[in-house]
Amino acid sequence: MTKRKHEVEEQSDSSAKKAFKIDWNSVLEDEDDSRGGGGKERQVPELLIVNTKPHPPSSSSSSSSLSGDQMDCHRNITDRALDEQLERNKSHLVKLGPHLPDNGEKIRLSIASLEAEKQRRVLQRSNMDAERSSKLMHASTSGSDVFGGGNAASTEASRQGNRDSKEEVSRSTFAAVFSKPKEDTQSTRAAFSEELEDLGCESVKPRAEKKIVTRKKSQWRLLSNAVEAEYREKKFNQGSKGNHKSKESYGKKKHKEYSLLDDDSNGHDDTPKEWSWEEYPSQSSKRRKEVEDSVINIDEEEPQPSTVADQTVELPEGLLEDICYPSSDDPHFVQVCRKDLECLAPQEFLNSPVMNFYIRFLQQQQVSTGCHFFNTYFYKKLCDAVTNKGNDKDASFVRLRRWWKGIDLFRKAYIFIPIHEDVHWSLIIVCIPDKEDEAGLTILHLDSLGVHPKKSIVENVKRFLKDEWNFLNQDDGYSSNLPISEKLWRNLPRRISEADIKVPQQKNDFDCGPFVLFFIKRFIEEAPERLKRKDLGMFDKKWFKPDEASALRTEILNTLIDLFCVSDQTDSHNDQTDACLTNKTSDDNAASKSRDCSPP
Amino acid sequence: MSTKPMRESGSTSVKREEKKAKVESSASTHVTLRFKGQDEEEIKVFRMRRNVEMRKIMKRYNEKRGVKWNTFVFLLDGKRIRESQTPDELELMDGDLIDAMLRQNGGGYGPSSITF
Repeated sequence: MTKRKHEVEEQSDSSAKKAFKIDWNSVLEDEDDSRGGGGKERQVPELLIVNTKPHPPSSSSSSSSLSGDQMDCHRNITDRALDEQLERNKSHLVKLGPHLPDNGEKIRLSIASLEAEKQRRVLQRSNMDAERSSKLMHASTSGSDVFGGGNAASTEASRQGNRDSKEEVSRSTFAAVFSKPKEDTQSTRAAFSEELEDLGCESVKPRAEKKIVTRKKSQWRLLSNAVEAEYREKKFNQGSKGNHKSKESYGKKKHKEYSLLDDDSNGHDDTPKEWSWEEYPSQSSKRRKEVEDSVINIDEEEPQPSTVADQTVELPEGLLEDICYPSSDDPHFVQVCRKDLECLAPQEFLNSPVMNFYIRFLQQQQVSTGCHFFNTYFYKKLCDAVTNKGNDKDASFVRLRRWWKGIDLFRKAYIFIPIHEDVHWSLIIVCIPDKEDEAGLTILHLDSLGVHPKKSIVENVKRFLKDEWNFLNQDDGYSSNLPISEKLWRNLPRRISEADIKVPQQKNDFDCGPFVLFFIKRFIEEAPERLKRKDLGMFDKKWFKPDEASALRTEILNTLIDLFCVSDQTDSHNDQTDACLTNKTSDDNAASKSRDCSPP
Repeated sequence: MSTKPMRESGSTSVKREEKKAKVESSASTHVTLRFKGQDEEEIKVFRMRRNVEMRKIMKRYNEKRGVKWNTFVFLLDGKRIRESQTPDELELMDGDLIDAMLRQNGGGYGPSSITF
């Protein structure tokens, strides 16, 4: 009890102006004081609101600060969506957190706020029921009272009723944890995560089975990968980063909490098995088994399928291990592994191989060469080069120039630079005028969430353009054959501006990859040969429906599956193709549908 | 490539002769490559035969970094290196720098991921 109070108070202290003192004893023991219940109801939302505006729970969400307005955002979503977000955030924390500059701190905060919202709802509902029927509060322990009230209320209240069957399990474990003194000093989230995971899995289970099962299974796989990765991460970060301690404790936490780990996670990795398991002691699998036994396996679906691909997306049998597109001989080929296809499952984050593939795919369909596309890794190197203050700044830029060797960037109409930072994708388009136009260069930043630091990104891109201008200026031969107007060229560094444009926003927290790709796709379909100021009107929030961008995910997956079926794309595992072709006829997989597996 | 005699003989004198005869750069049987991880400052240096697939060295790099295979994507001047290619095919020279980039994932976290 005390722990929860602290957790809530911490959040409220961060940005709320008043800390509501709640007498928890009276709250939990209160059985027939309807006025108290009403008071509680009135008080509880306010306590958990961490911004200063007092308003009823169902207010609209607006957010600008870190922990505060998240609560508002979460209020509007359904219970199931809340659980899904929670699950997703957790798996992302595990999978991606160590890679982030803040080590997943923001994700943790997000998880904390989601859980707080969850608690708030539980409390709110239980309090509502306390008014109606006081006897519901007469459960065994005080902790389970709150939850028990919620249990019975779930049929009455408008909760998705899927949680009922699991209430007993959750309640007992919940209560057990709840009544124990705070023992886990690592983080407050440890106490609820198991129960919440149970709930999370359970609550999404009966609906839209195919889709949700996909999601859940991918979580299992993600989590188990995460545990493997955790040991790797420790070695990974030794020495170079200072937060060794936090990583260790985090690693320990992993075993305790992610008890739903699939034990045979070892076997599913079908990429070349070169990593050894010495650092991954058997005790960990044993420990996982123990914990797993104590948790009732909610997943009543079939046991984990053998191939990774089947767990997440419906892939036909016998696909190639990897493909090179457009071909392995192409000097700028992109390579996608079968495992990479998993990121195209619903609600998964798109990864760089898939992003680069589709960018290249779009490029292949272009007849003209007026566009230059950088791959997703370029921006990182760009930043390194332009922010390099050392003596070898020139040398590092010269090395960077090899990325577009043989290409005159200023001769292009558009330069596309995908931006990846902090688990988010956005897009930069540099628009270059033709020789007759003396207007300057325009930089566009397209962000479907608006969370990337526009200023610094644009600044980096500007510096990159200036550095390139500087370099080319050293060459007299270049000045005699300028791709743009001479007047503009002379003043180029001062004639690069950013246009403030609005673009459609994603309606969820996982589709920024498809959005970036859709931006590119629609842009090259609709943009004029050269962009002028008047053309900026094509960009606004209604440019396209968000669903169209999200749907690109499926389209990309289908395109890739087709390629994975074709034989002459790669030089590895070609014998798989025959199997693919054989199986294809008898394959009733939903994803394959009427797709023809034969070579084009 | 014509390295078979050297490998099979194994005798020191032959090796020494071969080494003396070869120039340090593209004519030699080995090449020294530098790997720069995206997430660290340190550059790791490897030496390998020119006619061996890059797969081997890529594996070694992943192992050295303590991660599993396929964690890193290897780029040479922005172009992806396939594990079946050899330094000869890629025309690598001594001291060439290879970028080891991490796979990037993105989806967005909404308000909590504002990074100003």
